[in-house]
Amino acid sequence: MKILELRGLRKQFGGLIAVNDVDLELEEGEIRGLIGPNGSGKTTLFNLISGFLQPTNGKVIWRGKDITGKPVHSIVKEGVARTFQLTTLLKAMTALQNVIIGCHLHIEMGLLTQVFGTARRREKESAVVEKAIGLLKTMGIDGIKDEPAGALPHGYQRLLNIAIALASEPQLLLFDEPSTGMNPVETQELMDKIKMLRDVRGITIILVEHDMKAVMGTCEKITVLDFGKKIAEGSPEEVSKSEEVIEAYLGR
Amino acid sequence: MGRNFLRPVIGLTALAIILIALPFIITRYYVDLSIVFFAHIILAVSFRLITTTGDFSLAHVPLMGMGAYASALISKYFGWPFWLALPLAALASTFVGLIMLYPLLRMKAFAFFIGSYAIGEALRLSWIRIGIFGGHRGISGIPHPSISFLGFRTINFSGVLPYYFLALAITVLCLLIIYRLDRSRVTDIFKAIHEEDSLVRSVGINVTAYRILAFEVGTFFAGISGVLLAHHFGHIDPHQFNLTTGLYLLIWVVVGGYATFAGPIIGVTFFTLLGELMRPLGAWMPLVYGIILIISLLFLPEGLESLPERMSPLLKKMGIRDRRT
Repeated sequence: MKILELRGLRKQFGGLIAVNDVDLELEEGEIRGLIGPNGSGKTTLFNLISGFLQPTNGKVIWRGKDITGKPVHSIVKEGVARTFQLTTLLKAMTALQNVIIGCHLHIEMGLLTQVFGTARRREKESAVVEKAIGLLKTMGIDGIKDEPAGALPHGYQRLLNIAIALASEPQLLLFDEPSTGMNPVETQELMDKIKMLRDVRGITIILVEHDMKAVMGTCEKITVLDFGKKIAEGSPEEVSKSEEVIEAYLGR
Repeated sequence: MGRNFLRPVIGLTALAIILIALPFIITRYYVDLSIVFFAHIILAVSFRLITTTGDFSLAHVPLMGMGAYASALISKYFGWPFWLALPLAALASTFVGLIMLYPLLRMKAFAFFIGSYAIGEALRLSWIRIGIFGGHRGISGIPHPSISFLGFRTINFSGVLPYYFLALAITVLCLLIIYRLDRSRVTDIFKAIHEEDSLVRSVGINVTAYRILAFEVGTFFAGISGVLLAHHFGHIDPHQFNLTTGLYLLIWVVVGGYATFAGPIIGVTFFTLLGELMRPLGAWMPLVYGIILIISLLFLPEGLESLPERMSPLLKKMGIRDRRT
């Protein structure tokens, strides 16, 4: 069974069609690239999958189940997590506290336990802290766990965002331009980490990325959007030779 | 570590002794004032609890009024005892708050602020219009509380001293609960919702549910505050819960600071003392409030609670050692 299927997904903002009847099928364990010129609807597509926006038309099928129009928190509970294009962090809190907030779904502590409990609360807290430190280690940034997130260098903030997304234990992770503002070396390291997430944790990945070298080197299959429409799909070689793709990027 | 642990214990013990001894030392007038002060503390602390999610509610005072009216009606017309009226009235506030949230949850930030004023005012005006609430004149003759143990012994709180201790006990209990909540992960989530709503949603947190939780817990305690006032004055009317009171509440919390649990307590204490010092000014008092608000926003935007932190570099310059370093 496909892990994710989009069927004729469409989003209209007034007269503008941001996502135009997109069909997409994703295999479990795949790393899919999603590329296209600016304003081609990549982020809107992410918002539709993750529930931040409601589609005008079409369906989002997750493991054979229709999740179209469900609220964000229930879609995350199903196992779909995302990162944001802009660095989105709780700046006043430490890196560790940020990840702990991300662990919310897996804390399972009732309100009364939180307010009145003592021994049980402490026991669970330490388990959560351990898990959060583990996630920071996975991203290679456990050294900065007690720094306020807002004071971290940009590259670390991007990695922290990924650690937060991992804390919800996703099966599908949507990356929205994760390497923005990184130099080529940092970008390569990040791509290796993304591959590692798939290889070690078995997380299926959709990657929106502007760095063509990074996309071509990381993804097995690439989907190309232009003006909200899917114009090509295939292996990196196929896509890079496609007439339509070259036209979309360079003009006629 | 021992000293750090001891200092608050000593401080709290001293505070407890003072609060217990106080009503025997001060005059009747100040005992009355202290009871109102306690109610205002609960009101301000519960208001600040809601603000942690970013929702500043002008409906907080009308919802306190709802608690007052509910308790007055329960006690006066049903004759039910105080210990039953208190939680029931707080639940009545909570219930009315839940209805208000239906439209309010669609609003955020400034829209929420204005929306909460409109809907709070609608509640207040309903007390003037609906007969049972007594119109402009409100409800008088609200009985003083008494608590009986299975009909054997009855403690009567009708005197001002017993009522002082009843109000003190309820206030301490309320503050303890809200303090524990403030220290829990729930408040971390409230604050996170205020700062980065979309990040919080993206990790599977139901933002709407948490906004409801903060508002409803805050409203419950506002209701308790209203009950304390109603049984203290023995009389309530719609004008006690109007916008002016709401703005005073806002000023207490903004000037005191709303970043921490202590801020609103500092604010209410400051303005209660100030109100007494400035009593000769009479009708000019709102002007003083306004001036203090402006000064505070200009020079102490994080409130009085940030004063020690602000002062420490200054003290160092003057050669006074900072205790914390």
